[in-house]
Amino acid sequence: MSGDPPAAFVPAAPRPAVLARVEPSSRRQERRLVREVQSGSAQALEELFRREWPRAYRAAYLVVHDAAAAEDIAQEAFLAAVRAIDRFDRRRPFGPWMHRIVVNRAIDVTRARTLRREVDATAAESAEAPPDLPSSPFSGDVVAALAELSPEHRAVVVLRFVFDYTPGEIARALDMPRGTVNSRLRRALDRLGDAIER
Amino acid sequence: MSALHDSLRDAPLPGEAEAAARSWPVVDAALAERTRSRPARGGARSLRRASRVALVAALAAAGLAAAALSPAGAWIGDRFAGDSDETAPAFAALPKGGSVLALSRTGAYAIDADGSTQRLGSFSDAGWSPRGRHAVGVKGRRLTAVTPVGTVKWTLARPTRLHDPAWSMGEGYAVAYLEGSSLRVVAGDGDPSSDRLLRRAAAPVRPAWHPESDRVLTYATVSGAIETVDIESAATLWRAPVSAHSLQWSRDGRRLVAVSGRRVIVLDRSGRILRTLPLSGVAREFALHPSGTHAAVVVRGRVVDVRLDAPRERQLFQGTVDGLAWSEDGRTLLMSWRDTGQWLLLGPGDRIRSMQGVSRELGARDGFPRVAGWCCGDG
Repeated sequence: MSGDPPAAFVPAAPRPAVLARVEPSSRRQERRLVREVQSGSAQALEELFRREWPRAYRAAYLVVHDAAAAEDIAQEAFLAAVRAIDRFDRRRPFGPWMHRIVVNRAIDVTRARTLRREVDATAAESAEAPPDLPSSPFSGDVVAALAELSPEHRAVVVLRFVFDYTPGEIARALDMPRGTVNSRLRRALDRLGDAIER
Repeated sequence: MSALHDSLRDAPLPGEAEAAARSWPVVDAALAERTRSRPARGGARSLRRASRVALVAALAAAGLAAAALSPAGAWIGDRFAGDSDETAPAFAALPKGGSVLALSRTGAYAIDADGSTQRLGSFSDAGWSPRGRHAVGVKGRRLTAVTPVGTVKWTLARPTRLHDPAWSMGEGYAVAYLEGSSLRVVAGDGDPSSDRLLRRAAAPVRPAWHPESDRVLTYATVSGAIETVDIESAATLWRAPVSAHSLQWSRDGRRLVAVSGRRVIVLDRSGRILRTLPLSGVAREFALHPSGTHAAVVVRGRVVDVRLDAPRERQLFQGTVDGLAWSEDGRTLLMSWRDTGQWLLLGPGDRIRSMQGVSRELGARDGFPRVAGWCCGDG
């Protein structure tokens, strides 16, 4: 494996282009990477990790709004992908497969946390967090408003506006009727409307 | 909508780089582990073929081949039992003694050691009575006691939603439960006149009964403390400044173990903190070993064994496990492995036996059943 410091896996600055829908040439490259990972190539896995980690982490974070949970979810998604890579159909895009795992897991975690109200755990973790980490990640009204939505509504918004999925693709990813996706999007946008206008 | 796009895509995220740095070695190691566990030649084809049946069966086969081909062996392959019979009922692998409690979206199920199964009810949460002769479950506003064959013994209805029921561990004379943030208790026979409020500010954590008494109950407060109360007098016996999202008393009643985020806290019977043990990640599930000396904890997609006398973790299994329970004799750890829809038995020598088709056998078509309890050898 490469001896690069692990922090090098993450771009120093946000890269919106990376979050756009995958282009055909990139899709071919992705298929090649998946094929090589299936053959056991750590270098290919490293490249796949480098490409997909920011998106996986972002999707998880925007649903759970907790850094530690987002890390766990994204990491578990990669572990699940590695364990199931032999069964992966290379004709299908890898990214949406990963996003589906991440977003569904994030919804489950958020539901469980709502039930348990892990206020105490969060407080304990933030006390242990390195001092240079921002305790309040977003000051933007939009993201703050997103946190007020239910996890199911957040997931729909993330898949639509972060990954540009169509309602039909979201419906398949979340295993729900397309009409439900549309109604959740409408409701979420209504709630986010004020924040967007600001 | 571009403002929404931009805000969600461009906003810097806290801890992203650090999270990637911590996660990459784990993911890299998973690939290395998987590669080691595959046969040296023709492995991919045979593994893919076998994976049509189930991933674990494939890993078992690959593991046996790898063990023969590679001196280093593959830990996962080495540990899966090679005598699995895919035609056997899923639960035939359960060791003798006790009944397992499973929860899925469709309700609660009891599974006996002979492999027979019984749906207990459409409960969202449930627990065994001390000797497994009854189970108590909640659904919405109702608290219900049933026998292991699903016969309803009594039902108590409350105004609002209930959760986290717990049957007392002594003679089973009382059941504790939470109604919102209120901690309440009712007699074990369900007598409505015995139902009463104990505390108003309880955190949503399953209360833990002291194993030697039907009167001593420990719960987590919303203000970040643990309190132990005498349910007869409602008096506070002790209070400790420990936040917790899981509580379990050791079977001998000498230790209380609290799990909170990335910490395991061990207290004595009077509430004195004996030690605080750090975990390598946020604890998702937790099962105290019957000996009270160690515990199985799910952290970061792994199951680890945590000794309670020293800050030491040992990996037991890697996979997304969402339910854990020790057998009565402590020799076997039962895990529900959501990734592959299987249950696993981790036995002596860290050998793993898989149980496939658990959803089908339970008739739990809507969702994978997770392990929620295992009781009791003498039931």
